[in-house]
Amino acid sequence: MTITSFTFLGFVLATLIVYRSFPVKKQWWVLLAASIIFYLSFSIGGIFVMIGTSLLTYFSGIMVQKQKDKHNAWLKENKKNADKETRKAKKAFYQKRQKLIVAGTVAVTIGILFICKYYGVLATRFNGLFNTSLWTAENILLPLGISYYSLQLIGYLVDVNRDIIPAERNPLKVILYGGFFLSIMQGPFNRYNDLMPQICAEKRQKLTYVNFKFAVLKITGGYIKKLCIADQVGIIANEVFTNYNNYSGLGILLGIVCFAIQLYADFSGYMDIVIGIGQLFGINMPENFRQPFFSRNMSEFWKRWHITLGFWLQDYVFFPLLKSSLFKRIGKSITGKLGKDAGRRIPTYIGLFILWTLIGAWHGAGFNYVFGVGILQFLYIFLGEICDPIFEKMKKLLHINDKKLYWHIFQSVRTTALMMLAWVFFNSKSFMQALRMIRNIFVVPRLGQFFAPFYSEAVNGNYLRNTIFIAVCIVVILFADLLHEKGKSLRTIICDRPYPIRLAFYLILAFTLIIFGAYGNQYVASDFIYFKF
Amino acid sequence: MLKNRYFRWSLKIISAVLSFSLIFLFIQPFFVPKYIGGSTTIVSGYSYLDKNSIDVLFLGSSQMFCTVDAGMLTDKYDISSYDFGASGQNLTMSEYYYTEALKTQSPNLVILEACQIFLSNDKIGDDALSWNFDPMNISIKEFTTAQQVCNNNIKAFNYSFTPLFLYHDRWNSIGDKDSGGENDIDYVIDPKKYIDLSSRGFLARDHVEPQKLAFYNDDTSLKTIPQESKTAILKIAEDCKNRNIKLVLFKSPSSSWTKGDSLSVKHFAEENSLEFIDLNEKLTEIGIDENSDFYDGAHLNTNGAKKTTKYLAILLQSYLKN
Repeated sequence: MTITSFTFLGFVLATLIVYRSFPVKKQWWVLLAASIIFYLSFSIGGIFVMIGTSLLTYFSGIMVQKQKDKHNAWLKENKKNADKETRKAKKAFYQKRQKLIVAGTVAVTIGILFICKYYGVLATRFNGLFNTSLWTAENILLPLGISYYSLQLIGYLVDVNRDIIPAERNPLKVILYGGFFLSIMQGPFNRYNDLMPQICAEKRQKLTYVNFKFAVLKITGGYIKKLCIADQVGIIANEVFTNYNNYSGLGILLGIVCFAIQLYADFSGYMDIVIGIGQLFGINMPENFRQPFFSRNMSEFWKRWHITLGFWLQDYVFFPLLKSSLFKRIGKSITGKLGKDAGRRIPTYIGLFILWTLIGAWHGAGFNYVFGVGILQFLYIFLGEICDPIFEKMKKLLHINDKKLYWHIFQSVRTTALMMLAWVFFNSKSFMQALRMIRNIFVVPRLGQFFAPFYSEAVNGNYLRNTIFIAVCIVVILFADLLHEKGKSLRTIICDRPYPIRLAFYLILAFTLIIFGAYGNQYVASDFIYFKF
Repeated sequence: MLKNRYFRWSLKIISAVLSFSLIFLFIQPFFVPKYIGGSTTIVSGYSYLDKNSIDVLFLGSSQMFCTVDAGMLTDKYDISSYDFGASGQNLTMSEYYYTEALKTQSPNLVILEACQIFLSNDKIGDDALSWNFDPMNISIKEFTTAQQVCNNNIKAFNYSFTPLFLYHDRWNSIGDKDSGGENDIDYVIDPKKYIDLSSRGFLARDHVEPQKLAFYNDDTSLKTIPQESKTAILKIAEDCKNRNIKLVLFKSPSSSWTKGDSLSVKHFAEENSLEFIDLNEKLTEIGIDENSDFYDGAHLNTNGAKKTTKYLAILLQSYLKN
């Protein structure tokens, strides 16, 4: 049941009708049933892994909570009798137990994720390199959304341990949190304390016409991004990345630009669809994108792109790492030898390196992922910070006013170009392919060979029309993002207009989808790019 | 107040549906491929005929409209006729074409080309669906026929009522010389300009490709006629009987037709008291020259068509007299 199918739309509509006809307190049951049906439509075996992991997390949460309750009960009983040392020892005792439970659960969850997602690829490569015959996990299935629900469930357990939320008493609610059908496929990464209180609310806002209109516009916008932009532009990107040896110079560059548009439209389109559907159910999910192509630098880019993954890793990996006793010791040791600034910076850079390597590895086991969306990102940020004083001096020398628009545009174009370079690794089948593609950019072909191959073979139709289409896609995306950047919502602007103008806009949307949508016999239905992660 | 609200709502919904439908219906024809000089113009040309103006209706696939020069029959032999068919048409689709044809004409004679008699519905490809259904006007009969041929309700619905969903991706090729079409936009604006009414559906092609003649192939093994073909022919026969129209099955000269094929059709015709003329048995009388009269293995060229039409004219005159 792909999200772009009529079956999915029918499924959402049926779920919505049942959901809205249930008493508010029981509505989460409908979402649980819908999530299970949705999951089963993809994989029957995978659901056992998902439910198993959720139940493990649930029981661990209960056990952590019990340790806390025991500690609190002890404190209550011995408030007056126990001295400070005893209280400290007791606290450490219970915390150690809690940590053991959390660490054990995290290890098992990551272990399952590793075996399902990474082990097979790594073992096959190892066998190839060292001529061994390790088990390659061929029969192990990759459960739908394992990269997403595993991290979400770990986040839940850590939050219970951190006292941010109490442990959930109902295992079904933890299963629903893990397998919620709107975020199971490619996020967003929901926090338990954001999502579940909305799902299990005792009162819910009625689905008014205005809410409905807003939600449907969001969903339609998402489908246009996916079907009319991502999948259309993706034909060129796929052709160039698959047959990169046939292209050079501008051909490769155009393929890379097309992939950038495809990736953004595909991923943010999906988010718009699920966020819009969430709004129909009265559930607000976090935005995952905030006009990333307007970022001035890499750090900012990652605060605007796949936001929920970045925040998740920051809260559950990066900060705990920096606060760990090991990092504190490293910091102290460096401070003693190299000074306070180095003692602060170097552990942060080590933490950043680990964080980015993990982000890269989260996308896949290939080195192209680890490098492209991992190490390379670290290098961008690291070099950016190291070279910052030099850039500042150059700016002064050249009398550049960094508050001017032209400078913002330059910075945004630079950041986007650097990201495009990273995406060459991300979208290549291997690290070597990415290097060859980058090499091919600098091979100058004969005039006329720049565009001809993919217009004549991969893409049907008229040269000029295809080129105009790509240009229009870029303009539309930039225009919509520009409005959002200025704090204006296209949906609000449209919904505030008189009915004839609204109707004209709706008709434009509908016919854009009908005419430019990549559906039907001529197109191979493509999954969302992040679906494979 | 409430009444007023409902009225406003109804007005909004009606105007939205109406605007959508009008725009949809307006832009849809631009996207449907046009096979100018092929099926599209042959089918469209039929609608320009004066009501009840033809005596002989020819039905079938491209072998029919490459064999019978209906223009020559009309002009030279005074037999008002029309080649109403489309490429790749099987008998189920011929039965649909027959129904549509009789909405405006009342011929005395219906001649049905039998070359696709062995082609079952599940062997029909998208091209043939396109050639046969795209040029036809919207009707329920079109939908039910498409259903039978495609065995897929959504596809059938799209071919019959909403071809825009099938051809929406032509936004970047519309107007180009794709799928045999020449200039789709011009065709929609002024289709008559592209239709040679004097040819009456006949497709003249001068290319010559020498062939080994039919019946040089000694294969006498009988073939099974699919049930849907039998049903379609018997339906046409029944209706012709009711309307007092004479129905004749015929087979154009072609090199791929075997003795077994011919025998199979003959048996079926005899069993159902139908008349069948296999022109492959009359090649000498017609004067077909294997070196100069064929366009390809299945179709005659202009030369071959002229000779065959001359032969048919005499035959048709005798039928019409009776």
